[in-house]
Amino acid sequence: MNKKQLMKIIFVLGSSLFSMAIYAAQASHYTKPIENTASSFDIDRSYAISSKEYWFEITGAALNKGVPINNTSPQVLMLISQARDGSANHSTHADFGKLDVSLMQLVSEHGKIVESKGVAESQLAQTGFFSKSTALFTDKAAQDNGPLTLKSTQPLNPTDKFLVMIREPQSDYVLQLATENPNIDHQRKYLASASVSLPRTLRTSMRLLRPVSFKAVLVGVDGSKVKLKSEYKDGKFYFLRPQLSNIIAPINGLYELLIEANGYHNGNVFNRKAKLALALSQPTANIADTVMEPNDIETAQVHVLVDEFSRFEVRAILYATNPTGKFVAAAESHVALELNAGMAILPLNFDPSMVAKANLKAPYKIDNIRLYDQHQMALLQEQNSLQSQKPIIDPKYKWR
Amino acid sequence: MIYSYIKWIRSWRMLIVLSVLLASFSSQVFAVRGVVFVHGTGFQTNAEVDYWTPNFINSVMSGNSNPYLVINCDFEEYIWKNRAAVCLADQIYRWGVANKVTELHFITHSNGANVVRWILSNPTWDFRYPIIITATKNVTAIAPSSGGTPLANAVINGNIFEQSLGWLLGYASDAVFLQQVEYMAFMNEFWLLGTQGRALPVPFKVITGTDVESSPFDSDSYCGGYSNQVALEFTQNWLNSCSDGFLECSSQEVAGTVWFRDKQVMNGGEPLSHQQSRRACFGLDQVLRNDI
Repeated sequence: MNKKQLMKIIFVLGSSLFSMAIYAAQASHYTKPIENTASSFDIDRSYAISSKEYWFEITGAALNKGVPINNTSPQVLMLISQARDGSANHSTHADFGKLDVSLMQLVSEHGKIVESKGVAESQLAQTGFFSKSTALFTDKAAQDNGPLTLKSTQPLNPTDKFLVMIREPQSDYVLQLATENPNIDHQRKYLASASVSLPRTLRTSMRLLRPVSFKAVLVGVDGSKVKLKSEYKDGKFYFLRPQLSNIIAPINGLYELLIEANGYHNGNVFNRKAKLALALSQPTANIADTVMEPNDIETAQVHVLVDEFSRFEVRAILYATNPTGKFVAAAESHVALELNAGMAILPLNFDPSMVAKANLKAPYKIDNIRLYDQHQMALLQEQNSLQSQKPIIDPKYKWR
Repeated sequence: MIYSYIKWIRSWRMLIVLSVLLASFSSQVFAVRGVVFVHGTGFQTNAEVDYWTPNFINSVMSGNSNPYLVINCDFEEYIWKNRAAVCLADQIYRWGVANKVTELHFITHSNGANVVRWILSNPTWDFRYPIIITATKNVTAIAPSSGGTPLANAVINGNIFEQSLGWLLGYASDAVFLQQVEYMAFMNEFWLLGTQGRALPVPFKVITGTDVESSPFDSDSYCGGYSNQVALEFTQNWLNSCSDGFLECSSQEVAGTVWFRDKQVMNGGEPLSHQQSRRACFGLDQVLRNDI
């Protein structure tokens, strides 16, 4: 080996060590043992929510005239918020223009005033949650099943804006929303599905569901709104993912899928609103490969193909063999690094002593691999060998 | 060849991490357990007085010589923001170094638990997070808003007018926004550990507030200075029957393990409303003191 070759080797070796040292300086790494005997993790991301409430905007003129509350059960809770400057404790304008709950009333369809309780703005402000709202509510034992009319005898500025939220805890009219996964990836066709369950009647049939009309809007944290198209199948409406020219990253706030359902059933008009929180993101990288020799956990690494500079994080679970010969979760590794466009290798740095302490041994495997873009706060991709391919029509319900 | 490099780098990095840990969080052989009080939603500049009250803090810390820290951060922000989680981590880190703290015992209230869970769940987001995770021996989460609350939905839904931009009204903020039920469901699914099957790396013990007493004939109702009955009746009706007036029990208990429900342990079997669970009411301060 001549001097030139030796210098070249030293240069290459030096460069490699230098680049690895830079990697080490920039990379964040954390590994924790998993103290259970789980053979696989719950990878069902489906989420569902139900609603017995709705809300709408009205003017002072409408409130003076009377606003129909399409309640479907005797107990109704109403929160009436006013669009104005200054809080409940703001004394500059004293009580001028504030809604006086003592002058509000609920009237039955026969013109009878329905017994209700009112909560003044100053009283409700004591809870610490509401500042410009008053409330009106009827009891569970109330006799009037509706519909009712909400009215104020206070002379209000006709152009003043109010927002009325109605909640009916005892109602049988329920709007249900479900999504296969609130983290919307780029292959997804549908964002979510919606249906309304109705009280049983003698004439119950699927035909009764059809008169329900749905409106769906995707609301960005910047206030942007996109109306969604829908498809009807199997008794549900499915809302399609829209083409967005500008995607707001989850780190700035989530998207809201707002669904409004209106219908007529058994002589009752009913309204419902509900929403889901969804995350959309730019596809800035993807998992290209995972590598690990079955007998050497120190070789575990994930190859990531980066499209756009960001700080990326890989999380992965190491499975090792327990004394009965079964794969069990042993440790989870997190590694994060700023990466430019191109292929990058992220070593997972599992600690062999952590596995040995848990009385586990080879063979090993890595699974439940997740790639995140931290600048977006986005989960870009998940890889699970046990990936379920559940259809959207069968969500894991999580009732409110 | 590359694997030997990786091994070398790993040992090199381990040395750095260890030396940072040792240098920052004390090299003493004996443990110094510091207590950290983490407030809930709000921008606090003097949480000891304005959020917890000195009476409560002094009572919890009496009888021991542990150093303690009362966090003051901007929890009107999203929990992951610099003014929230990073602020929390920075205050703990600086105080830990100065006081040679080796172990951390958190006492959180309401949304403060979510900020702590963010740190415990996302160790690579800031260099201080793994150090804090390693030092943490206990989190006592009093009335944590782990699953969000329908009242946050009501605040938000009741404040978004068609023509409005941003938060014009009420107490709406990014933090309240995030504590809506479906937003916390998203966070629990993707970013926060502690729910079923997704264990946190440290013990996370929950004290659940289950009810609100508002009888005018019961002086206990006034502990914590919250007494408006008709407003309480309204918020209680808005929530499920088991709630502390702000959070349903199911929300408080969705993450971590339930240490106890208020009526099981509090003096006279009294419940703790959401306001009372950060005050020296019904022996809560003594229970926390004995646990330290």
